[in-house]
Amino acid sequence: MPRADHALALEQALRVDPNDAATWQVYADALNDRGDPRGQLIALHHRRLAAPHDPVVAAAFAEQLARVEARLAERPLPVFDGPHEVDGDDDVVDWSDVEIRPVQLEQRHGFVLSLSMALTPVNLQALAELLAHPAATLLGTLRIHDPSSHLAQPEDYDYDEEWLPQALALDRLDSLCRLDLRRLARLAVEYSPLGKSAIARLAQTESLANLRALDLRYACIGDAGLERLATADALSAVDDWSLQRNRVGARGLRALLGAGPSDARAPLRRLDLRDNPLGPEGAAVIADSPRVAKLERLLAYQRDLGPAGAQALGRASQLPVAIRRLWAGVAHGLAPASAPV
Amino acid sequence: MTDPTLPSVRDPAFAQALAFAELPPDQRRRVGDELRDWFFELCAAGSEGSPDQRARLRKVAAAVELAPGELGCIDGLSLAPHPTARHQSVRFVQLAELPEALRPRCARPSPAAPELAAVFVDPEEFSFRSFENIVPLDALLEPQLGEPMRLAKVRRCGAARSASAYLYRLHAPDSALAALTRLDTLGLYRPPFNAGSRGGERFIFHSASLAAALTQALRDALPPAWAQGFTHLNPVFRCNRFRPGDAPFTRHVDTPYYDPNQRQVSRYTLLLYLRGGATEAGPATLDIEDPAGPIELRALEAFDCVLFPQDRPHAGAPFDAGDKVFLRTELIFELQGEVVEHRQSIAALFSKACYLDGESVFAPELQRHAAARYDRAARAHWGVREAAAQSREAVEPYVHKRFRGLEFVTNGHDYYFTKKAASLRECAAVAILDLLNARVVPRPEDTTNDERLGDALGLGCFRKLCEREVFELGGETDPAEAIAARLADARACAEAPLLPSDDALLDPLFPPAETPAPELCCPFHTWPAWDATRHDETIDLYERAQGFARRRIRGAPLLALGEQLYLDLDRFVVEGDKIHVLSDTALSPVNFAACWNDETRPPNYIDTELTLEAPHLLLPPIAFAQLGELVHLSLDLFRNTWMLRARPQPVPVPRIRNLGQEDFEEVGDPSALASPWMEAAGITLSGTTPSLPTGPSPWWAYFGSDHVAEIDPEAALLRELYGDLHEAES
Repeated sequence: MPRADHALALEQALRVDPNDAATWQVYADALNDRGDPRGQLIALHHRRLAAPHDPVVAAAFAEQLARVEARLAERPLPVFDGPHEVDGDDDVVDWSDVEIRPVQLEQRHGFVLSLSMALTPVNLQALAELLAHPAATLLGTLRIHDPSSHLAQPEDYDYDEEWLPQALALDRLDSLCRLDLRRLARLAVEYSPLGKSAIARLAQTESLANLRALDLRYACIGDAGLERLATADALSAVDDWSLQRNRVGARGLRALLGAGPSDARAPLRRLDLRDNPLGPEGAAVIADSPRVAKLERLLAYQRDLGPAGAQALGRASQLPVAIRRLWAGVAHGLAPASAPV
Repeated sequence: MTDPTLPSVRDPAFAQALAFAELPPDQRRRVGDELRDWFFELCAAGSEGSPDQRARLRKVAAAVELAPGELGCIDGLSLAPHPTARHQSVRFVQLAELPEALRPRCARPSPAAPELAAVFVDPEEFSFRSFENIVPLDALLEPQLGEPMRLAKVRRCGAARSASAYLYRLHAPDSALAALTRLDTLGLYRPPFNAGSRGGERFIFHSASLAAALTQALRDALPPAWAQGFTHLNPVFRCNRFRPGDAPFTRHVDTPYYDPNQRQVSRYTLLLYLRGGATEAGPATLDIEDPAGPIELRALEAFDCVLFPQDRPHAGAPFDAGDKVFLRTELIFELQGEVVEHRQSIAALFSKACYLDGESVFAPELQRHAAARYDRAARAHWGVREAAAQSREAVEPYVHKRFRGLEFVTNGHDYYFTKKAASLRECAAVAILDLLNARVVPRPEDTTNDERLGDALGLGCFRKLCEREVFELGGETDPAEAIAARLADARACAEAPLLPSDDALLDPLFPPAETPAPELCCPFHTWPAWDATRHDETIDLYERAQGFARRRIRGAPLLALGEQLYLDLDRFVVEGDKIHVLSDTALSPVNFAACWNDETRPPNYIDTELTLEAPHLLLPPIAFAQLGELVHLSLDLFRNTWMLRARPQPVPVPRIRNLGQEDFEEVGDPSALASPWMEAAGITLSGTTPSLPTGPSPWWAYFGSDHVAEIDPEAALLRELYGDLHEAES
């Protein structure tokens, strides 16, 4: 494999799993080959782990770290903490005096690995600059939230196929989707009701083709929204879905978990379905799906499944043994009675 | 059968037509109550009535099975208010220990002891700790004891100059004597488990006050040579009744009492006769072996008290006329400089005896083996016939078992597995489960040779879920070779009977909380946007509740979630030739309200997602050896320096819930909203001594009250959840 391709493959691997120590060490060699001081920093980091009390290694690490910081200082990272905006109708609660979640940048060995930010115009501009920054080569995780989103309970919206609530500013999402997001392995749009248009926009964003994990918790997408996203070509590589509190049921799950002969989607690794009206029908879709055989994690509440649903999972031969037997244990003795109020 | 004119359970045609599960609730209750009443009528008639009547009752009961919600549970035993297919053995318990709903349905065995209730238990659930029913009678006896008792010596017994036994007469207030006499009328007698070696009936009761009164009398009456080191009388009494014609109690040695922690041991047996009588010929009323010649007591009067060394074999025959009723207990002494040597051979004998006794419920042919080993162990304790005690029995019984595909052979002390069947840790876990007869939920596909299990709705016990075959080996045979041949065809299990208690289990049980939304101050101000799953205080309590549950799960070497069993491999440590089973004993302390203008509280939003059983086990090390393809484990639960502890521990796993308008409408008053997880966790901690409700606690524990108990009556729970706040402030 040509060196450049090899380096690209390593970078992709680290964007997917930034905790893979072995890949970091191989990548360090690639960085050293091209004179990037971060390669030596990575190597010294691992030597320090092996010999934490060695003063020579510690000194060498500190010296190399200073070199890397000096190099990075030549081109500072863009500033993300811009003002937030609150807009909406007259009956919107005024959030103007509440704090917004701070920007979070995870950095390691001189690389930005993940970014969590509010979806504001200033931050979108900063993100665009960051994507072009050499420190963001390994930026694999992006978490966004819209500070102007209304935090209303999905039940209040009573949404269905015809109408989905929308709180996320569509124009901002559109700006995001126009960026080159090909390096992203994980995207989270948290606690922001998306709406049909935003769902469609995400589904059409081809630069998300390398995405492995999509976190849309509390996004009020419903079955219709999940249908749209689960069948999108641009998202066919996603094997890790976080779908808490989305009013997803059997219909949406069929779109996500059903597989036809020409289905090119990868088997699922992780699936979070907490706080969704799954019911026994949804459990049956999970139990019968060929895409669940390699699940490492399945999160659901037994109350959302009901006794019959929990039993269905407990007997699902498609599920990995550990997950199946856990649900077999949960299923025992479940009664349909609700919790005491 | 839903016929409103359901015939009586005593109708011979009843059992054939009964489809108990299909009956409406009121008829199920009627059938159960009639069964109960019929059972006790037969008891009153003596030994549960004629064989024909007993058979008819059992036939009806065999068609009756209760749902888990209709059962109670004490000491790990499921309880029914009447006989069922499984619950066949009567037990007497404190009424107050029963669930309220069950109390009115349970018979009261004795008007004189209204605090006692009769329940029915499943003998297949017995573990070594629940084998015997020790009835608390102190409340009945203490008020009657009155003035101090006195033991007046009647005479020494035995031919030798140094007496081998003493006969006393008990003098006590009339009320005390009457109360002791009434013990015979309480209706508590049951046939003993070792009915193969003795006749009559007995019950076991506990009375600290009676023991204390007799202790004082003994202090004044014991000869000096016998009194040195005497501390007290064992408060556990056996009340025995033999009727004329009953089989005698064959020659035996009493099992001694030994407490290594207190350095106490029993030395003398005390027999207190509550009725007088005589045996003119044949076996004597009491026959005690003595080196100087047998001691025979033929005539005894009411309240005669016989004292003799506990290492003496003895036997007893019924009176020629009238019931022979007597209490038996023992005198406890402090070890003074003596060294009590642990003899592995004796421990093994006793372990086997206990195990085979329990297994005899499934395989009655094992009862004689159990009785023989009890007696040998007791004799061996005293060094009696030491040469005989060291010799092997002519045959050694073993049980070849199969649990969910895993085969093993055991005699209750030795466990044999093949290496290919399971890992060493799994073998140890299965051996523990078998020895403890742990409660295990049957899977639908569990098969046993017990028809009654069927599709049982309730909990099962480990031994009940095992297929078994009893076989014997010659006493001189080295068992390893024979057992290896027997297990040679044992296949590796298609699925492991136990799963590891690792992240695959813990990860889905403890998902991380959602990100708090800082703008959510309280339900009142933020309704309808209020979301408990994103409120910082609710999340804080949720994470603390997770820590509570996680500590207990992590501290348990074995877990049960429904029918699934989990093994924490890290808690089974192999060192040399021993497997150590580690349990957490110490709970390390772990690690706030601004605006809350609402009548709900954070605990109202923490529900229980599911409950695991994480029994707290304290076990001695398990010795093991590898013999070719065989793995041999030795479990000595009665070793000197160890006392087995196994305490059930349900662990509620939390989740955050939201409350909707309908929830408030259902209760009317928001202060009546439940706090499901806190209540479940409080039950987990019940029995522990709550800490004083001092120090910082969350604001909601004190809102509107000076007492912690307003929201959570368990101060211990709050201390554990918020102990880090207390430490921060102190």
